[in-house]
Amino acid sequence: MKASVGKIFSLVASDRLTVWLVAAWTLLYVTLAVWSAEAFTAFIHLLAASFVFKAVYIVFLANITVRLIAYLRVSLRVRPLMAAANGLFVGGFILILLGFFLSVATKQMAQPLAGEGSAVVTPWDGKAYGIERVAPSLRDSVLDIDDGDGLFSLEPKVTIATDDGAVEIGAFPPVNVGGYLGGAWMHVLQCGLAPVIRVSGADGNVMREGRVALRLLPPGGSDRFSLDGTPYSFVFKLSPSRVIKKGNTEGRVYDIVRPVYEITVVKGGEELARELSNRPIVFDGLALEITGTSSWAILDIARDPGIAFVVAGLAMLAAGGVVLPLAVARVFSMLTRHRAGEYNS
Amino acid sequence: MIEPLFVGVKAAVIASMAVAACHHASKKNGNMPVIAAAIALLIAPFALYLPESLNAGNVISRLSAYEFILLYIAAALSIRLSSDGRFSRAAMLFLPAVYLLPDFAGSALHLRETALMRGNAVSVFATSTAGFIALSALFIRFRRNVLSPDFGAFFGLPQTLLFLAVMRLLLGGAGGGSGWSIIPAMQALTMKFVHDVVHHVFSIILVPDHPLLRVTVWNFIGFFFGPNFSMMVTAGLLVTPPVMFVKRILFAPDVDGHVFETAAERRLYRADVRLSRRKEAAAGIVFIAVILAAWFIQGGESPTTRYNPAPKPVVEDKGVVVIPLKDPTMNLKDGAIHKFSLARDDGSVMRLLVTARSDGSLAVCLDACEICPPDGYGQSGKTVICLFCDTPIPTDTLGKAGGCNPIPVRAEVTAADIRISVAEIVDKWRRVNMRANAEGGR
Repeated sequence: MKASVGKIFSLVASDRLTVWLVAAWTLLYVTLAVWSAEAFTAFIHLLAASFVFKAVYIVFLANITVRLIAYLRVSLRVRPLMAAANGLFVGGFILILLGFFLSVATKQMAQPLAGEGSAVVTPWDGKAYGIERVAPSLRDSVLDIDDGDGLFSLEPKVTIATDDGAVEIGAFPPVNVGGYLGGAWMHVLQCGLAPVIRVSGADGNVMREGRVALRLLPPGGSDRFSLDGTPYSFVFKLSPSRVIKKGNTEGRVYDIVRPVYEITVVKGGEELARELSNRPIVFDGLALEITGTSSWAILDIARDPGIAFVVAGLAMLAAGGVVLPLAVARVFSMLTRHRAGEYNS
Repeated sequence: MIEPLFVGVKAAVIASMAVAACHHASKKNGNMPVIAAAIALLIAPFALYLPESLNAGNVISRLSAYEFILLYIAAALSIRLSSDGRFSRAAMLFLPAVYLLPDFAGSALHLRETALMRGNAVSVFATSTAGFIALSALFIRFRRNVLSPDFGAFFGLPQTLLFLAVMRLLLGGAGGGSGWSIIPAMQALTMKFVHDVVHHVFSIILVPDHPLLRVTVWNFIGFFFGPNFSMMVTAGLLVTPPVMFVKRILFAPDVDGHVFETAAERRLYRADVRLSRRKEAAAGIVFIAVILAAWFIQGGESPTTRYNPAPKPVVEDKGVVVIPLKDPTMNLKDGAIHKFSLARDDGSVMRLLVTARSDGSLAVCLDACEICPPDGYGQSGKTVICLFCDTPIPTDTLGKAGGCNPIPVRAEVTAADIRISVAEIVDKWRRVNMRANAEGGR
């Protein structure tokens, strides 16, 4: 029994197994890439659906982990700095692969539209989180060449009620709610402006009124919506509040809090009217009016134990990138001293 | 008639070198590789009789790329796992047949296309056959030199596999002069892989989709998506097996020659072993040099060298744009991307992109996506690449909406032309993000 366990362990720890498995993964991926267009997607689907692939992947992870531990046991005593650098790199890589696997195998997610006063429900446990506030974090005005302040050029904040109190969620990093393994990671996936429209008939009767969520941010993009039950559709685009010219460079300043839209009314592919939104647009006896603007956000909610591993793996890779130059410098310094000793003797 | 002659000569060069390499690897069974090559030569013309629906040209082209990878993996395995060759040498006897079949079949199909274009099949095939026979005769004349045991000292199993792989890499494109190297295809594959991995890691750690990302963040991500990074990765992947090989040979433990009685005999023995190792390693060093040279010459496509044809102006006729499938200046089914521009009375210009997928169907899209400013797309092998954000998109997926894919356009494809409603083009073009490039985001 002990002998067979030893045999299995030595097989799992062998470098030959690593070589064969790397060759097998490469062959599988290349086969998918050569014979189908989306190899990576196909690879993920295989890994998610096939028990055999999962088993082989776990053996591969076990193999490289055992080999890393064996390497560190020897090398940390002999070349500690270089071993640490290699350990951080390979360890980080293993954690990313583990996180990738956990994510592919177990991830559950939802992408609800967040509106103040509503609630988002996690589909895996049916738990509801009330949305207390959606703060668009829009500045009074942005320049179209603006680089923004954070990771994103315009980052909204959504405040959610949890068991531990109110939590503010931005676009990045994601926030964990309800425990790292069983809980949910949340962040704002998309956000945008929602102009409040009012369409009136010739007699002044209001035919439609409400908010329309459009993707107009960052400024410059255009989006459209159709008026159900009518042949009309409307193309919206933010209109600059002013244009700054300096030499050959031109910048447009957009008022995001009180935006002005350039609206094109389309009927059957033909343009009926194109006007700015600061006054009613009249077409075919109807009038379109913009009475205000609010914001919208889509949350990305995921239950994914892989996130923590991938983040830890990336951090280890970054740390490895810091330690490696130190280790290399140390090796060079040792070599130089060694040679100097030889020449002097 | 240069092109058919060239196709014949190229096929004979590949066949001669493959036969010579396999002969050295299989040592004593000298005639078997020749017989295997002859079998491939006899079978290959049957590719001409395959039904058009099989799209044999495309399959053969993919087979060439696939063979290269298989040989490279086999070479790496033979280097890493066994210095004396765990693979059966007998397999080398049959390798030429498998190796040469796609080349010969691809050449036959290419010649048929050339014959169709020139309208003279007899002269095209005769010229090519003459080139093949002339080069083969030259090989037979000098076979004693090429197949001599001295030359064979450079060829073990790993060297042979590497040699065949490198030859496939450099000469692998099935067809004539246009199909030389598969390095650009390798680079496109690497670029796509890197793009997908980075994108997937981002999606795991819940970084939102890119419209809101800051310019500096995109510049950082763009480094991984760009051609420079994939160039470096491709070069690294290509030289890894030969470097492994050279390292294994040159850095093998030194022999002590303890079976010899005198020190002089031991020194002689050690010198002999070292010379033999250097000879073995020489092939690997040559491969590294050749691969790097080819990579410098043929790899490293920058966005400016991507195929990006100037759009041909089209006009609307009663609300419809009509594009002929074939005219003297273009063939929409030739696998290249074709661009067309439609100018409107208001001064706006909308661009269309048309190309054939590998199954022969036509993809009709806008030369723009919903996310990026409308810089359009360039072509690199079997992928179109967004000229703004460098996202590679396989040609076969064109027509699917979303992300950085070109926006698909509904079109009626008849036997003679493509008909697209102007209203459809105008409608779809409105979705294009008209952000000015000066904004600088990626």
